[in-house]
Amino acid sequence: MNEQQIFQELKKQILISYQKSYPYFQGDWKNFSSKDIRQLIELVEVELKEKVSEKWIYTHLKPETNEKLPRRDMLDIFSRFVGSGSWDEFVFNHYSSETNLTKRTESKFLENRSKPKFKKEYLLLLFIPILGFAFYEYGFKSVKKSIVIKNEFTQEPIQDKEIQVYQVDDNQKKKLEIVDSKIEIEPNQTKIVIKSPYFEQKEIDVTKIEAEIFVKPEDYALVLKSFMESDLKNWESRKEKLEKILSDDLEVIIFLKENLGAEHLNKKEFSEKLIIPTSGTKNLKIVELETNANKEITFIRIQKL
Amino acid sequence: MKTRFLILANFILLSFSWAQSANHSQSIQGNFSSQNILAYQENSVSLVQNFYDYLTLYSNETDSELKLQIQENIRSIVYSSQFEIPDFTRNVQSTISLNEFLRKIENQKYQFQVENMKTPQSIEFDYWVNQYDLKIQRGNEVSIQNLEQVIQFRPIEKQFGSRSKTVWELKLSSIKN
Repeated sequence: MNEQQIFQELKKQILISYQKSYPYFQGDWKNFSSKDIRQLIELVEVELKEKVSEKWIYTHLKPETNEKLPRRDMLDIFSRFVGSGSWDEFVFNHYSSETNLTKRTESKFLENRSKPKFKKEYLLLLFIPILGFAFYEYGFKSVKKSIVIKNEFTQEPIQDKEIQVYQVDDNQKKKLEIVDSKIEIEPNQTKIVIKSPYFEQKEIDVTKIEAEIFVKPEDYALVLKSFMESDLKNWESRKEKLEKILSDDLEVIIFLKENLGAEHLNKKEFSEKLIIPTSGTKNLKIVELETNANKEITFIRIQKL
Repeated sequence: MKTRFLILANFILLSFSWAQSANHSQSIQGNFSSQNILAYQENSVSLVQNFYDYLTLYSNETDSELKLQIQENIRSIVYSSQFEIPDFTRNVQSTISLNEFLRKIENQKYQFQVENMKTPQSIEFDYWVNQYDLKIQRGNEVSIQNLEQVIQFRPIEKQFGSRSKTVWELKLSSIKN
């Protein structure tokens, strides 16, 4: 497999990763619409904090065949998007998996040629312990572990929509389903990552925990969330608090439904929205938040629901 | 003479086409797909609703500090301080300035409610016109007015503290019966 072919494989993996966030997309690059492209750009921006242009996707990902490999930095970005550390790692994994496959096929062929055939009875004797082992493995050991995710301060379970949990295995990242604040973990899973705009990111070795995980709240995000959900009461204290925690250079981007547009607010406009909340303020969800060295909020990305 | 005329004609043609393309780059349809425009139109519906929510709050609030804050919120969503509004406190059709209108509804316990808002299919260079019914209630008196409101949507240079950048912004503009 040459690098061009591996790039085609990367394109397939990008679609698979995209489908994890947008499962209703079932097509291929040919029918990847302009809306899908915008959503993919947004995903890359949110997950990797990298910018990709619409034009780049049209030039390098949409076509069925590619004459040239794209720029190295872009290959790195999309390799990270599909769970590899870099393009080199992605290429290495594909070379090595292909080489292993070839070796396995060759050795099997040689074994078959050289070894005399076992009698059926011997095979049966060999089969019994294997069956026993398999029964033990799948009957007992494969029972999934259920883990509740809780707020470290309140000790309360965290709402499903406030967090995302990813299973990380061999640099592959897979989103796990959260039901009633719980995740189900396969016994062979080792590492998970919890992400949320409202809680600190946490990477956990699941072999070391039993039934609960506690995550620390991200104070500012939770403060803003409570302001968004509040009524007119205590408007003065909200105003004072916002004056303190928002940087003068604050930029807030509110993405409209399906990311078809955006509103850009400065500190004054955003504060006004939270000081006197309207019914629309309750339909905003913080997606990303950045602070400066003085612990003031400089950037907020919000999704309109 | 002929060469001079040709140079001049070329210059005029170039200037005209440059002006055309510069104009196009500022227009709504030159910058957004119809899907994007629909999303912004939907956003304009919430903006109009916010405007009347603020007016209702202002008319019913007694805290003078909070009233000043509401006035600021209202001014942030309208296009200019010269904003004119129909005088809903009188039965005659006339418009007054926003300041005057706020003075007239202060402590008068008016309720404003937007109903049947329609956004148009036709879009002008940098605005469109939303149509809606406004239910105006004061005590037991209720009236409904059918209104048209201009929604401005244009690029502006916005300050974010020490930085500034060009962003597209929705603002409420004139209202008429």
